[in-house]
Formats: sequence, C-alpha cells, structure tokens
Amino acid sequence: MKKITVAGIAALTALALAGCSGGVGSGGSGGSGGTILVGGIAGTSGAYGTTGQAAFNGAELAIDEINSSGTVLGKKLKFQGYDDGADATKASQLFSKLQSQGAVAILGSPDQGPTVAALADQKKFPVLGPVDDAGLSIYPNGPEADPYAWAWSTSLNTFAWGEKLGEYALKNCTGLAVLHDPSGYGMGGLAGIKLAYDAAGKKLALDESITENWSTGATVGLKAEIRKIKQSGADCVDVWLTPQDQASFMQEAQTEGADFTFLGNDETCSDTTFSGLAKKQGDGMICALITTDMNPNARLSTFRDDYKKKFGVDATAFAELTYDAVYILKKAIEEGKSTEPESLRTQLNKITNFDGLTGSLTFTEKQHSTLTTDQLTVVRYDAASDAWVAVD
Amino acid sequence: MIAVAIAYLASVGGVANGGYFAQSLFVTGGVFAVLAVSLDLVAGVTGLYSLGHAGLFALGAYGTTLLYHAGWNIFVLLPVVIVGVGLIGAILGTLSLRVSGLYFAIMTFIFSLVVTVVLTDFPFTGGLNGIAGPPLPSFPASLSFLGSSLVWCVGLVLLLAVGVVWSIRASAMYPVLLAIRDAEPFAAANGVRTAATKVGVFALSAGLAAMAGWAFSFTGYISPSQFTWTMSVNILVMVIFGGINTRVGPLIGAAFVSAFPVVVSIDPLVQEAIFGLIFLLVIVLFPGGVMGLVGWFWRRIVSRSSTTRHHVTDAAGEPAVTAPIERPARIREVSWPSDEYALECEGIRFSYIRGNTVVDDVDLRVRRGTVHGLIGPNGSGKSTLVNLISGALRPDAGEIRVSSVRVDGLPAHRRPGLGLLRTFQTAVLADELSVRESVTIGLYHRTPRVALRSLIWPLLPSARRDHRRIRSEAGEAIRSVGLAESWNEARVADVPHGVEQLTQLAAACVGEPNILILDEPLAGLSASEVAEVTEIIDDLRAKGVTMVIVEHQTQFIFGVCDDVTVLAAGKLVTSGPAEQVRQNERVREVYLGQ
Amino acid sequence: MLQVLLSGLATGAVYGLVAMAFAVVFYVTKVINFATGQLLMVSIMTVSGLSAIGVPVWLSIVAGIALSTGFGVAIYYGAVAPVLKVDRTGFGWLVSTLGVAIVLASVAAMIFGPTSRAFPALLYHHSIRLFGTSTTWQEMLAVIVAAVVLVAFEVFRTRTLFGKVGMAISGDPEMATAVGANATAYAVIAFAIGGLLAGVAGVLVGPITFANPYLGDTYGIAGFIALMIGGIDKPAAAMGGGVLLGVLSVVANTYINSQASDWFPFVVVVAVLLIAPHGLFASGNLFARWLGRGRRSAELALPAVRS
Repeated sequence: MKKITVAGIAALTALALAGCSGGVGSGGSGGSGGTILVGGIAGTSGAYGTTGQAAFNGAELAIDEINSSGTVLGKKLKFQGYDDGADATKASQLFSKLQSQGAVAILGSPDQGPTVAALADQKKFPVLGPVDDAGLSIYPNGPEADPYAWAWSTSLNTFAWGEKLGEYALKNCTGLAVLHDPSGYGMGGLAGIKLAYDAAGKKLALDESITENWSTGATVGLKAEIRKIKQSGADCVDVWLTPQDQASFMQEAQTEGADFTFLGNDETCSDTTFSGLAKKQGDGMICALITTDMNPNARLSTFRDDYKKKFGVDATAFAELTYDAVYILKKAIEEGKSTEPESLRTQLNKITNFDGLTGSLTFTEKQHSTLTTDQLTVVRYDAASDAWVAVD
Repeated sequence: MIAVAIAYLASVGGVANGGYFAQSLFVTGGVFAVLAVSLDLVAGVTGLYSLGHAGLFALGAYGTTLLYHAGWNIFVLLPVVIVGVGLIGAILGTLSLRVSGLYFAIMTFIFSLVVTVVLTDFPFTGGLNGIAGPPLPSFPASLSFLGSSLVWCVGLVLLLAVGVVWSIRASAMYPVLLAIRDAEPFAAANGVRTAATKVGVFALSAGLAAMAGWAFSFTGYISPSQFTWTMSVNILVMVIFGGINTRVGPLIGAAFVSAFPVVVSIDPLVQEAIFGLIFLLVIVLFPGGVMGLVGWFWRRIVSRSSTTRHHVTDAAGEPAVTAPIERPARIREVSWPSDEYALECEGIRFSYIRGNTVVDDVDLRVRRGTVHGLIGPNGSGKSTLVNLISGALRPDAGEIRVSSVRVDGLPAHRRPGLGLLRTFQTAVLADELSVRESVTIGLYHRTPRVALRSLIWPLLPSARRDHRRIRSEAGEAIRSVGLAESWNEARVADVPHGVEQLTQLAAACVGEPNILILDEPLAGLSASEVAEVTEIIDDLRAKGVTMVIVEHQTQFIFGVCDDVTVLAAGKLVTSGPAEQVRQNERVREVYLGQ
Repeated sequence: MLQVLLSGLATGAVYGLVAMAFAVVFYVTKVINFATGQLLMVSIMTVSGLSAIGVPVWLSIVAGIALSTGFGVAIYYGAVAPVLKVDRTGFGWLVSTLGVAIVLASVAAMIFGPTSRAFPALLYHHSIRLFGTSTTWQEMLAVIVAAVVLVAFEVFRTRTLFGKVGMAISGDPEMATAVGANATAYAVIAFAIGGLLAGVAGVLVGPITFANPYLGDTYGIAGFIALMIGGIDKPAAAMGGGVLLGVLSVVANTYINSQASDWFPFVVVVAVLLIAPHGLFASGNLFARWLGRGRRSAELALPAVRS
C-alpha cells in the first residue's frame, strides 16, 4: 500500500509539472513571430497514403517557391502537415491541434473531407484545397444547394466527374448501371451522374450501394452484381469504387463473358493503381482527366520537373491542386492584408479566373469547388500502349 | 488515500490549464485508463476475458451522441448510458455462464465485430465518416480558473472508475471474485451465487466502459474506426502490459498505449510494427507486465532485509502444525434443529453420460448429531454422491433432504443457507489468495450485502467494521484448526498440501455449519496433521455438528464414525452402526479387491 | 441459382482453408493463432513481389507457400511456446499472436507499400462453363484443392499412426506425453500445416483480390467466423463452416441486398453460437445436442478447452 502511494504521488506530481510546463511552451507559438503557419491534414499512410503525401508535397513545393521569392505580409510561410490515417476522429483532433498552434488555414483532408469541412463550418475556420472529393464534402445537401461557407475545394470533384461520365454514357450507352459505395464519395459520384441524366430526363438502369473494404479494396460479393446488371438491361456500368475493386470487377465480368462497357471515377486514371492491376483486362475503361494535365503548358511542365527533382516521384493531380490552393491562399492573404478568418473568407470568395495548374479557377459565395466539367476530358484506357487516350 | 486523491485533483487542474499536448494526452490516456480498469475487473479479477469492450465503449459514445442529437441533455445521458450499456453487459455476461473462458472471449470478440458493422452500415450512425460528438460546455466565468472542462470531465470520470474498482479490490468481495475465477466450486459451496455475481460484475464493467464512451464523445468526432476489435485487443494489451489483476497496472498500460504513438512519432507503419513487437515481447518475456517486474524487484530488495522464514519446521523437516496453548472455541454454541435425520437421500440415481450409471438407487440417512462415514472402493461413487448432496451435480432421480428441506433441485450456493457446508478432496483454493483471505470466503454467506457494499467499501463504516470482524474471525478459525498465526498471510500457492486442507477445514468451520461433509479430509496429510483433524472432528461432534466423512482410511473411519454407509460400483452395499458394518461379510468381500 | 451456389462454393473453399488452418493448430495445441490471416498475406505478397521482379510464377508460388509455412513454425517458437511454458491456461497467446499479426502487416506494408499490387493471373482468365453457369478454372481449382485437403486430412487423422497420436494429444496432452508422444513435435507440425493451408489459400485467392498487405485482416476474420460456424473441435468441421459461410455470403448479397454480406455472416454466427456453441458440424450430432444431451456433454467437452 505504502509503495503505491509513494509511487502514485510521484507520478502525479510529474504529470502536473508536465502539464504546467506544456502550457507555457506551446501556447500560440505557431503563428506569432515571423511566420505564417499553414496547416495540412491528410492520410499519408495506409492504402491512400500516396494521395495525402502528394498533397503535402505540392504544398511544400509551393511554399518553398513563395519563400524563396519574397515574403507574404512581411513574413515567411511555414507548412505543418499531420497524418490523419484516413480516420475521422484523428482528423478532428488534428484540426484542434493545428488551430491551437496558430495556423491561419488548413489544407485538407483528401480522405476525411466531410469531417474537416464540417469542422470548418463549426469553428468558422478556413479549410481549402484537397478537400477529399469535393462533391458532397463541400455541398452536403447536394449540387443544387449551398456549400459549406468555410470550405473551398480545388480538389477533384465527384460532381464534375460524375456529370462528365454521365454525359458520355447518355451518348454512348443504352442503359447505365452504377455501383457505388455508400459514403459521401460514392453518393457524390452518383449525384453527379444524375445531374446529367436528370437534365436529359432519363433514368439509371440500376443503382447499387456496395460497402467497400477501404484498406484492401478486396470487396466480396461483386460477382453477384454481374447478374443484376445483366437483368437490368444495362450495357454500361460505372464502378464508382476503389481502383482495386474496379480492376477486380472488370476481370470478374470478363471471365463471366459479360460484355459491359466500364466507366470509372476520378481515381481510375489519376494514378497507375488501376492500370497496374487490371493490365490487359482494363482495356476500354472510360475515365476523365483534367484537360490541362493532358496537354501540359510550360508552367505545368516546369512544376512537374521541379516536383520530380525534389521528391523523386512523378507529380499527381493532388499535388497540383494543393499547389494551386497555397497560391490562392497567398493571394487571399495579400489582397485582404490580413490572416484573420473573416478577411480570408471574403477574399477567397472573390477569387476569379485564377491561373492555376489545374486550369482557370474561380470561387464565389455559391461556388466553392473549382473543377467543373468544362475542365475535363473523357479518356479511354488503351492497354497496348498503357496510356489514357482522349475520346472524342 | 486522501492524500493521493488530493494530489490527483491538483494535477488534473494543472493539466487543465496546460498546453494542448498535455491536455490531449491526458484525455486520451484517461479514457483508455477507465477502459483498462474496467476490463481488469472482469478479466483479471473475475476471470472473464472479454474482447468486447470496444463494442461497449462504442455503444456508450454513440449512445451519448445520437441521443444528444435527439435533444437529450448530456449530463442526464451519463446515467442513462451507463444503465443501458450495463444491461447489454449483463446480457453478454449471461452468455459467459453457458460456455467456457475461451468461447466467451470469442463471443465477445464477435460482439465487437457486430457493433462495428452496425455502426458502419446504418445511415443514422453516420457510416464510416462518423458523426460529430456533443460539445462539452466550458466552465462559467466564475470557475474559469479551473481550465479545460473536458480535462476535468475525464479526470473525474477516471477518479470515479478507479474509485469503484479499488473499492472492490479492498473489500471482502475481492477474495470472493478471485475464488469465482480460480476456485468456482469452492465459492459456490460457500454460498456465493457465482452466476449472478459474474453477470453483475460484467454489467458493472460494461457501465464503466460506457462512462468512458460518454466522456470520449466530447473529444470531437466519433467514427467506427475508433471502436474496432483492435481497440478491444488494445485494452487487453493495456491490462496485460501494465500487469493484470493489479491496482496500478491497467493505469500504467493505458498511459503507455496512449502516449506511445504521440511520443514515438515516426513513420506510422514503423510505429505499428514496433507496437506489435512490444506486445509480443511483453507477453513472452514479462507475462506479469510492468507491475510484475516491479514486484519482482521489490521482493528481491525486501527479501534481503526481512525474515520470510515464518514457517516453523519440526524435526522431520516438515512444516509443523502448532497447537496454541489455549484453543479458542471453534463453533459457538447454537441451538440445532431437533429433527431425527439431518440429511436424507432416497433413491439417488446419476450418470455422467448415458449408459454409465455412477450412482444407482442409493439411500443414505444421516442421524442428527452423528458422525457418518461413507466408504467404498475406487469408483464406487462416493465423491459423486457428495457432489450430488452438495448441489454441484443434479441427480437424475431421487430426493435429497437437508434438515427436512428438499434440496435436490437447488444449486450448490443454496446449501450454506440451510447449514450444509463441505470440503473438497483436491486442491480447490485460489492460488493467489492468502490463507486468511481464503477462510474469509467461508463467512460470505453470513455477512449481508457484501457485493453491493463492495462498490464503496472503504467509505462505509459498517463495511470497515464487518471487514475487521471477518478478518479476525478468520484468524481465529485458522488457529482453531491448529495452524500458527504466521500462516495467515501466506499465499495458498506457497503452502504445503496439508496446510491447504486445514485451510479448507477452517473455512468450513467458520461458516458454522450444522451439517458438514468432509470429502477425503485426510488425503495427503502427515501423521501429525491427521491427529489434528481427528481432534477437530471430535470437537465438532461435541458441539453437536452432524458430519459425513468420505475416506479411504477405514481404520480412521471405524474409529471415529457412529454410522457407516458402504458403496460399491454405484450401489448401496450396506448402511448402519459402525461396528455392525465392520463385521458385515459383504463389506469384507468388497474391500478384498483393494 | 446454381451460379450463386457455385460462386459461393469457390469463395467458401478459400474461407474453409483458412478456417482449417486455424482449426488444425487449435486441435493440437488448444491455441488460436490470430496471425493465420497474415500467413495468407505473406504468401500472396511473396508471390506478387517475386513474380514482379521476374521470378517464374511456379517458383514464386513455391517460395510463397514455403515462407508462409516457415512463418507458421516461427510463430510457434517465437510467440506461442514461450507463453504456454509460463501459463498453460491463460490467454497470453492471444495477445502474442495478435502482436505478430500487427508486425507482419506493418512490415509487409513497409516493404511493398500499402496499396494493392498485381498478382499473376494464374488460372483466373480461363473460364469454363458448367451446367449453364460460367466460372473460372481458378475458382474451380479452389474447390478441388479444398476437397482434396479435406479428404486427405481426415484420412491422415483417422487412419495413420501420426494422425491418431495427434488425436490423442488433442484430447489429453498430458496423458499423451506420458505415454511417449512428442507433443512439441506435433505442435510444430500443426503450426506448419496451418501456415501451409493459409499459404495455399493465398495463392488461390490472389488473382481475384490482388496483393495487399492488409488482406490478412479480412481473410483472418472470415476464416475465424467460418471456424466458429463450423466447429472448433475438428478441422473437417471448419471446412464445412467455410463453405457454408461462402455460400451464405453470396446468397445474402444476391437475394437481400449488396450490403448484406457485411452483417449476414454475423447473424449466422451469433445464431450458431446460441444454439450450438461448439459449431454446427462439431462432433456429436447437432440433433443429439438439441435433444437435451447437450448441456452435459458440452460440460464434458469443456475441460479439453480449458486446459
């Protein structure tokens, strides 16, 4: 009994001391002094680690460039990114952490967009850039309603991709089946596709919700869908799931002799996951790419070279759009001559035709998502040349 | 204890006013600590290994959040959630009654999986993205010096949880729970309602886990990934790493597990790998956990300076049973029932598996106030009959009456209430308990409301009084069976067989039975110990206790018993006064085989 | 309907192999190796990694299965034997094998990256038509392998001396050791067989799922549930559980809704655990248990589990 009491009191005193000293140190060190802290939340580990890492890399590249060519309001920019492990609770804790460190805005999260955007709204704190799939993360009540007032996305937009692929399907398919996951990502894609179909007054042949295993992408039970799709009379199917599932499903369908035309989502052609897994079986998959990516201008080429030199891997869309977001933030800070949240909000809503790597970007009160169907080109996977080729 | 509590509250205040890092660490660690303590209560103390605590935690957190969004007040939700999840815990606990330890662990594991699926797939729970937890209001301006309300919330919740669990550990309930874990038949024979207790403890643990969930919901977003089966395993690891069945162990484990990812902030994959490696190493190398290590060091330091040789040995080198100069009374004078037969068995039949009848149409009548011997060759069904009488087994046919009350349908724990106690032939005591603690279990059925009061034991004057009385009575009983006082605190694991048997006897005596069944009480005893037991039996007889003694040593039986019953191959051979039975031809035949 | 059954059978065959891997280890040592799913993953990742750098596919497969078998044995020596020596009745091995599972998954993710990699197609692109349904040779291979393993194992267990000694050790390890059986050797063999079965399952399922370091979790849990459904006291029962689980999952997906395969297996396993806690195909006919013999015979079986 005695030894425990002694040990206990010793431990508790140590804890109390740690607590107090913690208080003195890290109060508001982030933003004071000569730096402006830009925060980042993304999943840099696990199955979607490459996306988060790319976003952080893009941010760092932008901030390095800005710092080497001058200052913003007389201060240097600093980037602090944290791994949320694609977990909502962690993302929300990191949000508080960055705020307490004095960040002026948060970039993210490519995996926990809905959480971070909702928090932004709750805490009236700006969140921008790679906000997941934009779509329902930014417009929680659908494309026709108002977006979150405090979240601005330069990210791949499920509404845009869905609409673009929906338009393709309207022109080239007799019937479209959509397999999607029940999360905001899948529902956003579905909402986008429906934008196209509703505008043309047509209905989808089949709409199925499939729970996915996000980390392995090895979803069981896709085979049963093949039968249902055939029964619905659809000749095209949009598999709005992970690239692993898309590859897997295409293979399964083909081994069963089903002759569907497959469509994907923004992730299908944004990296080599799908093409690497599906290989020959992936021939003919329909996707959409950001037009500027397909014909890079001088600025984008320079960016890509610099990125490769600094990080040793090829740049992807998430790096580019985060880079754009940092520059947009810089502009908002400079225009408003302040880093206060209200000022940033006003300035961000005034961004018009900003010349970004991903195209000409605009934010308004009602438009909080930059990528639209105009900035996309429909492409098709050509297995022989292992390339995504534009479709007319 | 008060000093610790004050120091604790002071440090909570310190953290609540401190920086973000310390605060978030405390909050996470505190919630984990509540979970670890709750799991240690069921797994470490009561022996019910649960892998379902993540599910209970989830139900607490989601219950709070969903009901809050439906308009409930968060403080009202605390008792609601505790009771609600406690009921679910009770249901899970009843499952433990049907299956063994491993199976129960598996069932709770599946419970965790089910909860995760429900949380992920149903729309109103927010799916994979989770939902925003309720905000905890900050302190009003007058109390703002206290700092972060969340830190205080977690701090108080932790204090409450630790308080309850430490109370139980310090109470008279602790040896009982340990007995349920390691020596269930012994506990049941002494009136412990083992089934109800297990369910109750599990429900309490579930309530504590729910409380952790309630506090956790204030930290921001809750999502299914926080409550997967890996979390259940993490909680178990916290308990084992820190030291299972210790006061401080689970707290250390929780601190480690919560601090690790924050302090060791490297590549998450490497971090995971190191974490897994630590689990592995701790279990393989230090199964007693951190507290086990500490205890080991402590014992080495202590043993160098103190005398642990408190066992007196006689000339033969055997630990001697010392007889104090004046024997305290073993049994108080009580008035016995005045019926003719203390115990009656009629037509008892029992078989373990169909087709192999172990007890076949046996009658047994024990006259009040006599010592009745039960003998027979190996496999004659003696021990089975004893188990049937004591309620550990139910007869297929026949009636058993104790003091004219029909008992054959009643569970074992109902016997002490009728004055029937028994001892066991093999070692049945819990190894970790001391001799004295084991004997206190014998007083369980004579002390009111132990289980209920154990929750706040140190605070109740009546409980403290009862505890003192129980311990002193147990001490008296130990001396009355001839064991020196120095045996009191020795662990059962460390004592020789003879001492353990005498401890059992002391536990039975302290329960003041009017009928006592002794199942092979002389097995493995030395000559001096046999003499001691004989004296005890004489003493009990003089006080009017009726006894049934099962033994192989026929000389002893015929010397001590008034009546004798002989069984062979499950059937009754003969029964009657000792001298008659001894002369009986058939009895000699039956024993020739020996 | 037949299509659904066939597809369920193929999925179930793989689950059954994993469940058997669990069961064989449990049968001999009364320990559940929670890293069994990860052994499946080890074989898949090895095959994927080796074939990607140009090693011939058949050699990669041999290496993969050899590695999973080897790891199985290593788990016995590193995580299970030391724990059992200290405390036969506790559940320390639960934590230690889980620790191994975590380490294996993390190390695999470190080496191969956390995203899925390609896996050689093997027989997956060769379809066959059977009674009007279409399936692939890969899936039929899974069914054939599962059937062969089941029959071989039962024959081995009941007809050969090795097998009978295995049964004796399973029933009463102390007694068996007392009469000369080498319990340790059998334990090692059991863990090796467990690793082997898991490795084979990996090769069978790899072309369909691709190679991902976190597959161990998915298949480990599926195999474990199959084990609970089928029965924990006999490896053959585990295979039965696996097949049943596979068929029920696909049936649920097809006829209820596409999310049913998440929760339907749990409904089944909970029902099974409530009605027949030792599994549907456990020794002692299900009906005999139902008729009331259950309680007592279940109690008898318990000591085997406890010790």
